[in-house]
Amino acid sequence: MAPPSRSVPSPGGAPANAGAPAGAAALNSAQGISAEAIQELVDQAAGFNLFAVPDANSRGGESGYGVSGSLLKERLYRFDVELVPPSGTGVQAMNTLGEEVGTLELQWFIVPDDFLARPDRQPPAIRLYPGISQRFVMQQMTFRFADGRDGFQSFGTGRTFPMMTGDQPRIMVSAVGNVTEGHGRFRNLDGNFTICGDLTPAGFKGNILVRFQDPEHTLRVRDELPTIQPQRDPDPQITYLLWSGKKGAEQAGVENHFSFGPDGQVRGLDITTQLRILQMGFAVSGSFLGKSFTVSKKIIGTEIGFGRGSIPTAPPTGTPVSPYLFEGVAKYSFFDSAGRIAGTILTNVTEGRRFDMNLRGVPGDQAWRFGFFGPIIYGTGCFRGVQGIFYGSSGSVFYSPPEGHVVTHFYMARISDPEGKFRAPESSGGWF
Amino acid sequence: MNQRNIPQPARSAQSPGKALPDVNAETYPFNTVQELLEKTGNFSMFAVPPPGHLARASLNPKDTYDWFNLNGGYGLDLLSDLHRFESIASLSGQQISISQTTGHATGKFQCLCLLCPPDTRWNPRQVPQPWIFDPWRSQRFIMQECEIALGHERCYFYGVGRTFPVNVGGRHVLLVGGVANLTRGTGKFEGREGTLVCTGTLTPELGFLGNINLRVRDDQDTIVSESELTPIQGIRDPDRQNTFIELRLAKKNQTIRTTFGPPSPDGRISLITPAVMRSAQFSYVAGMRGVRTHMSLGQVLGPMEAKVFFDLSAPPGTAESPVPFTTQELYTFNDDKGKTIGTVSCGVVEGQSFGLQFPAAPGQPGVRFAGFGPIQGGTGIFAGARGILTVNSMIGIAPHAISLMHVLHLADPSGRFRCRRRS
Repeated sequence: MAPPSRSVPSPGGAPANAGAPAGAAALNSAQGISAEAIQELVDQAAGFNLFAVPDANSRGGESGYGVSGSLLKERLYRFDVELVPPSGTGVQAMNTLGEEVGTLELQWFIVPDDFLARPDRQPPAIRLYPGISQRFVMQQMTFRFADGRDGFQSFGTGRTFPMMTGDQPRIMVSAVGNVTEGHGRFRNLDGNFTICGDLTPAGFKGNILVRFQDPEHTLRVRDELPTIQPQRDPDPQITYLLWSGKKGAEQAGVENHFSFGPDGQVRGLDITTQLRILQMGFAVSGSFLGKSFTVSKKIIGTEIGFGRGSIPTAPPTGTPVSPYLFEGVAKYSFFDSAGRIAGTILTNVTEGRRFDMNLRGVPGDQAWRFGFFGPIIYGTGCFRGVQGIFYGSSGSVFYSPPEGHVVTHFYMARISDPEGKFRAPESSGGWF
Repeated sequence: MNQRNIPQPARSAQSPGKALPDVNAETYPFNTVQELLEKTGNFSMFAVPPPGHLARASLNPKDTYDWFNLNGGYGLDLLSDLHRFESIASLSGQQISISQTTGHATGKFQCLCLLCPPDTRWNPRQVPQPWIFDPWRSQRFIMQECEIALGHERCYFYGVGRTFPVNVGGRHVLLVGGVANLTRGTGKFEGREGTLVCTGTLTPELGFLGNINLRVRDDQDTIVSESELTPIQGIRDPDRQNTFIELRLAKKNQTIRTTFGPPSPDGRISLITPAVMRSAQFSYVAGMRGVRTHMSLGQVLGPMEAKVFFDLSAPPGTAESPVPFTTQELYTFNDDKGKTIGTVSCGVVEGQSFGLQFPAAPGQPGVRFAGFGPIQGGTGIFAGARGILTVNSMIGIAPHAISLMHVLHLADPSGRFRCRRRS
C-alpha cells in the first residue's frame, strides 16, 4: 500500500526497471542519488510493537466502553510478532507478549462520520453503537516509558469494526495516530503509529505498531536488547502477522505504473512490492531502547495494489493538522518454500494518512511517512475465510513513474483466529 | 385478451381544475387494466455463487495488469447459478411458516457491480466515479454488464444497488439489494420491457447468494402460462441464514381508492395505496421451448399499506432516465380471525420507475417500478426483524390498478420463520 503520486503524471508508461531501488540505479534521473542510498535514509527508523491493556483500576466511560471522552489509563507491554517462513501448512507467526514497559493515557471520542477532526477541535462526542462501524478521534494518547522520562503525545482518528471472533462479538478498532510531541529520547522525532485491537468496556486492548524516523540514531541502540520476558497470552483467539513490503528487482511488467480510467485520465497508481520477513523490537531498561529493524533477504511473497488520493481535489501536501488522505486495494500473495502460493489476502485500505517529512540527503529533503488500515476483504488458500484488519506504518520516497520509488512498509494483519491456525508455537525458532 | 375487446377510454385521467390528478379515474375499466397488468411473466430465482469463481473474478478481465481491477477493491464481479425458487408463506394460529424451496439450476446471473459515490445518478452510458468497497459501510453501486441467461435466452440489464451492513446476532453480515432495468433481450425476451430486483447476502468469497425476481411484460402471451408448470424439485438448501417471504399484492377490488397523502419534506407527493397481500407460488421453467412462467395465488396474509413518494411533475421514466421514488410500507399479518400477529415496517430507499404502455389499451397510462430498502423493524412474530424489502411492480394510473411482487428478505439464522421443506 502506498499513497499515490502528488506529481502530474505522464501517460507515457514506465520502463521495466522503474520501480527497482536495488543497485546503483538513480531513483530520480535528475538527482543522481541512487535508490540504494535513499533506501538507507528511509530505513533510518525505529519500528516497534506495543501491546496495550486497560489498567484494571481505570474506569470506562459512560457507555462502558471508554469512548465518551473519559480519560483512561492503560498498561503498555513489549510485543513481538515474528512471522515464520510460509510453508505448505500456511502462514503463521509467533506472538509474544513481553514485560510491562510503560503507560498510556488515552481520551477517545466517537464522532459523526463527517466530523473534521483536528488536534485543536473539541469533538462532539456521540454514542457508541456496538453493532455498527463508527469513526472516533484519539484526541489524546500519551505514551510514557519506564519512569516517564521518555515518551510522546499524539493525535489521530480511526474506525470501529464490529466483528465476531469465534462466537464472541467484539468491537474491533483501528486508527492512525501522529506524534505531536516527543520527550526524552523521542524529542524532535517524526513518528506515527497505527493501532488495531478491541474496544472493551475498560478501554483499548491491542497492538500499537509504531514507526519513528531516527536519522541521528537517538532512539536506537546498537547493543543487543534485553530478552523479552514472556507474559500470559492476552488474547489467544487473535493472531497478528507482521511482514515488510519493499521495492525490489521486480519482474518486468510489475513495476509501478499509472492506472487510467475509461476517460483516459489517471485515476491512481498501480504499485507492487516484494514481501519479506520483518523483525523489530525494543526494550525499556532505565530508558527506552529502540532497535533498527531488519528485513529478510528472502522474498516470501508479492504485493500488487492500486492506490489513489481519497479526495481528488485535496492539496497534495500532508501535514500533522491535515494529512493527505489515501486509499487503495492490494493483494498479498505468500509463497511457501517451494515457491507456490500458500495463501493470499485482499485488503482494502479505507483510511490512509500521509505526512510529509524532511529527510536530509534526499533530493528536496522530501519524504513521506504514513499509516493506514482497512478490512481484509477475503482470503484464499491458507487464508480462506479469514476475517480481520490489515494495517501498517511506512516510510517512503516517491517519484512518479517512470522515476523510482523507495518504500519500506511495516505491514500487520490482525486475524480472528480462535482455532490458532495462524499461530506458530514458540518452538518454531528463528527465521534467518 | 386482444385489443378489440378493450373498452375505450372513458375520460381523462387529469381532472381539470384540481391540483392533483384523480388517479382512480377510469381511463379503461379497472378490471380491464388489472387484467392487462397480469400479462407479466414473473421469475422468482435463487442465485447461488459457484465455487471457484473468485480465482477468475476481475473488474476487467482484459486488463489484469491494472490492479484497480482487483475484484473486491472498487467493485464486485458477481457470478451466480440461477435456480428455480419458491417461497410460500402460510399463517396458522399465531405462527407464520415459510416453505422455501430452491430447485435445480436453470441459468446464470452475471453482474459487474461498481461501487460509486452516494450521489451518482442513473446513467447507463457512463462509468461511475470509483469508490472503494467497504463492507462496514452502506454503499451504492452501479450494476453494469448485468446479464441473466435462462436456457438459450438472454436478458441484459442496467441498474443500481446498495449494500447494507447489518449485525445479526453479533455477526457482521453484508446484505445487498439491487434494481435493474431490462435493456435488451434475446429469444422470448427480445423487445420486452422488464424489471429486476435482487436481495441477498455477499458471501465471504464475494459471491451473491439470494433472491432475484424478474418481471417481464408479456403482451404477446408467449411467456405466461395459464397451466401449472413442472413442479420444482428441491435441492439442498443453499442458504440457511435467510428467509424470503414472497408476496403478491393487489387491491382487494375496484372500489378501493388510492388517496394522496402528506408530501415528503422535499416536496414530493405521496400516494397511499391499500393492498391485500397473499402468498404466491411464482414458477418458471427454462427449457428448449423457451421460458414459461405461472403464478398460483395462496393464502391471504393481511393488509399492506404503502406511501409512495415521487415527483408528480416528472415525465414518465425511461430506460435512460427513470423517475426515482421512495416508499414507507407497513405489512400487517393477520390470523384467520383478523387479529394481527405481527407487522413489518420497511421502505424503499432506492426505487426507479418507468413509463408503462399497454398496446391493447392505447392511452392507458401505467408505471413499471421497482426498488428495495431496509427492513426497519417488526412487531409480534416479526419483532427484531432485520433484512431487505424488494418491490417489483406494475400499476395503472387512472385507474390505479396494481400488480405487485414483493419480497421480505429476513435475516433468519435460527430459522424461526422456516418450516421444513416441502416434499
